[in-house]
Amino acid sequence: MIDHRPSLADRFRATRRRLRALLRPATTEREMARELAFHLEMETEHNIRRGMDPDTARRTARIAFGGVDRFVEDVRDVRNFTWLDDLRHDLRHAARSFRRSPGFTIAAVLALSLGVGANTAVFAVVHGVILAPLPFTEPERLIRVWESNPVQRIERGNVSPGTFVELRARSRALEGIALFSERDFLLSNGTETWESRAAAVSPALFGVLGVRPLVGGTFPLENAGSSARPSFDDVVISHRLWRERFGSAADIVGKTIRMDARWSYTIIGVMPPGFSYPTGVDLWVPLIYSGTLKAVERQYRYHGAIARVRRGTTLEQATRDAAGVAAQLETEYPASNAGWSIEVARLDRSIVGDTRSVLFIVFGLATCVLLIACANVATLGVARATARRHEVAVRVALGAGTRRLIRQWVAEGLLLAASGGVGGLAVGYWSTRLLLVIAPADTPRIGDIAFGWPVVLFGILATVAAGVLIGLAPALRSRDTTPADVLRTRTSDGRSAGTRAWLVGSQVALTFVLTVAATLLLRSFAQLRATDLGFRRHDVLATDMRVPAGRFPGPSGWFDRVQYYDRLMAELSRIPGIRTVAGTTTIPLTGELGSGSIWRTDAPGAHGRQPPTSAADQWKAAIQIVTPRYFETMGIPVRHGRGFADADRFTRELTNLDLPRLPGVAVINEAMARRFWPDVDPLGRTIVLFDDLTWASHRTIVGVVGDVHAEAVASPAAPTVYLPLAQHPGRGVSMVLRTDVPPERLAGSVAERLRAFDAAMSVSAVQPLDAVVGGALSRPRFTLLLVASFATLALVIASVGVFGVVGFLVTRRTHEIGIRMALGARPANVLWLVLREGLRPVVLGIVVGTAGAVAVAIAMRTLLYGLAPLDGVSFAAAAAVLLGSAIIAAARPVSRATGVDPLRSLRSE
Amino acid sequence: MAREQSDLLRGTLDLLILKSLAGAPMHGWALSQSIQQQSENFLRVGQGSLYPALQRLEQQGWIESEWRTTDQNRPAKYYTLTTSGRRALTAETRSWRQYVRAVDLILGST
Repeated sequence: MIDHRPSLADRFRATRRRLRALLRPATTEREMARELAFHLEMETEHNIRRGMDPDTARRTARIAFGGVDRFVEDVRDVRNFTWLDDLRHDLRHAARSFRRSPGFTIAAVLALSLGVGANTAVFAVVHGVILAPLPFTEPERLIRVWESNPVQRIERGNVSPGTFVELRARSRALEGIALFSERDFLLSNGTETWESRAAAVSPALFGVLGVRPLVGGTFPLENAGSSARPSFDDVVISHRLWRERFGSAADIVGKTIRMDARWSYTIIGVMPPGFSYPTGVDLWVPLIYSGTLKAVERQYRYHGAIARVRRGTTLEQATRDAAGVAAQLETEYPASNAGWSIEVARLDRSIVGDTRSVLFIVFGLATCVLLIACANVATLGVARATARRHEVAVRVALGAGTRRLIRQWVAEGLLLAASGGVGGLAVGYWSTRLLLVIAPADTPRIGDIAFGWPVVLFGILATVAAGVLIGLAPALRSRDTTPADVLRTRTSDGRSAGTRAWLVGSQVALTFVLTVAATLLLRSFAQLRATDLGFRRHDVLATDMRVPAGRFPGPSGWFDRVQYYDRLMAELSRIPGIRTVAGTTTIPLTGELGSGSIWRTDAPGAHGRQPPTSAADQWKAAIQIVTPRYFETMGIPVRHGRGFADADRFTRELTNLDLPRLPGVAVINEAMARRFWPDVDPLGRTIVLFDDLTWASHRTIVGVVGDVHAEAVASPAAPTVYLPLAQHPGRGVSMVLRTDVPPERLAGSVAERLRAFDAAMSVSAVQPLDAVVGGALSRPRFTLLLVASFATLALVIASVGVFGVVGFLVTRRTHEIGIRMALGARPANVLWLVLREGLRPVVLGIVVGTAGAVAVAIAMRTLLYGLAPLDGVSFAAAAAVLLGSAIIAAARPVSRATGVDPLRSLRSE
Repeated sequence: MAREQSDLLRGTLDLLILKSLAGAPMHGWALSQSIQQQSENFLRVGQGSLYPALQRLEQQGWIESEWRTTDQNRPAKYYTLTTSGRRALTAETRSWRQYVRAVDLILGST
């Protein structure tokens, strides 16, 4: 009847009191006891004043008071949030019951810890790589821009300065656009020399990304008026460089830094910590395109491009806008832009790339592990529920409601999950650290992976979900328990066996999905390892070295460079155990090959430097610069003609010649021959390489060599042109050495000899080519390792489940088995009986799991190399492994069944 | 002799407590004595009802409690009416009067 709402302040005070009562129950109880004691005293004194003797007075007071305990409960009931109080009660009850069965508790907590841990660690990676926003202003408005040309089979390729300038002027969807090109440089601050990655970037880059310098400034925009024009000598450095090489000096602005021992740059700014775009870059120099462009600047596509979309403009609008500009350019500049389209995609998506789908698959599989752990613990829980049916029946008989019982089971589930969750967070934390150590170094955004609050929160959520799942199974099962069930033990057992079989079946189904995924990856990895890479990876040492570009100055510097490498190779070949030495611009599987435009000298319209009229006659091919004996050292077979000889060289007099240069030679790979001379012999044909025009007027093909998987193990060879270093000495090379002894034994002396040869040289690595190949497989190996460990974990957990369910089956049917054996059943019959029933959920699980496995296999198809997603061998192998593990797990309980002594089993009833 | 708690209409007790506390803050025992005396020993509040009722009223924010010392210098828990409690008392008193009057009308008419 009283229904006036108390004021907010009063209600707040009341809630605070309630919370205090909940959080500090002991204090509240003590206060209550004091209050009641006071009441009793007052009543007793009152009675004494009315003439009673003290004893009677106290007794009377007590009688008037009524049953103390009963009303203490009454007071408590109104005092607290009842459900929370009940929960505390339930939890205490649960803790007590866990203490009584430590084996179960340890197994359950362990399974959950591993499940939650695996999930949390993978989530940490997913969060860092995919979910966490990029550290730029409004990163959702940033896009990557590419040019594509289906005819030349260029997909999402680099952008030409021409296209960039036109997009900047014409696009209405873009707020800003910037170009970038990366290169490694040898840097020097005057006291030390080191190698760093630098990027030439449009001055707009920093504005497009929305990042301001921490110290100083960045490059002024090209079109920001005449007063502030960007200087080509300016450089902006990263926070890391500032800290590591300049000791975070406050007067950094104005200091100089030397690149490749030649160019001197003035530092004008330092970027904030963590900023490195393109990733891995430590300094930025300006890249300026404005005003009238040269024809070649429209033709040749060298740069990456990034842009910011105007606020309120969708990606679709930006895509249409770019397509519109591309169409205009095709008609206005057909020579450079015919056949080229402009593509855009969100920056975050393009950074993460393929890793995204891989991560989602791995995350899904980790979730499977957690579900298996939950199902397993629930199975154990159902077993306990059965063992405790007496207790449940008594509680039902005493009036415990259905909800109260369910709550009790969920409380137990939560308590288990909470312990598992704490363990899981610990496992997750260490697993994340382990993942960071073993993850391939080229994982995008690897630096953003951390075990932070979002990850902990996720772990807690996963824990709570697991707790509810675990508790619900036995709860639903005991929902309909009536006291009479205690007497009808058999039916109750039967239902419990059904629930357990069902739970084991689902564990098997999920485990099957994991096992198939792991088997597919394993077979795919085996295929990768067995791939013929086109070179012999054994007994070769590969170096990663760099000679400062400024080391060979002057007009005849190119010749000095050729002689430098000649001397170096002669020096190295004197090391005992070295058979041959050669140089190459790119060691296979260590990065992308440079590529360039190529045409036949007899293509229509081609004349001197003039490319052919038809774009279809301008080919794109990878270009690799090597020394004589490269093919021999690497074990690349020469199919036709010859490799390079020492005589394939330009002499010093070349520097005095004017264009056109001398004719040179080239070797092509089989992919190139197949592609461009499908019907005729390419030997003796002549080609022009645009990037090579500084050196040779044209080149005659003197040999065809075997294809090499140069860029990635899984990607077949691109059409490739090899040029001899002595006829194209524009760039430095790294050394490869074939050895007569195990290569790792010579690594030390080779590195030593290199440094002794030239102290200014930086040597990053000297390692067996085998290790280089291994490094190229680090990504598939990592995925395989993750998924295989999940599958192993799942197999162990599911086997425990099978062990439990078969053991339970045998115990329940010991009596029946005894009768059968007494009636003449042979052990083989009994074995079959138990095995058939025990393995039924396993077989059913495999059947059901096949559907999930097919779905996962199809989702994984991009990860698979050399086999179809629905690879029969993998599915069959996975089923065999699972069935085998189940049989091993069932062996002990089954042997117990066949060893039943009929007499004893009958007597036991 | 006296009416026990079971006969006391639920809610009536709340009203009586609020009314008694309207005069001055009191501890539980004094409250029970006060109700007993004021009703000329007709109403006797059992402790089993009194303390849960006090807890309930405090939950609702109508009364507050505080440990103080009595005249004999002994610590006791005193209950005070809050502003909301005072408002509730006024409203409840009015509705109780209406209720009594309505019942009276019916009883008087027979």
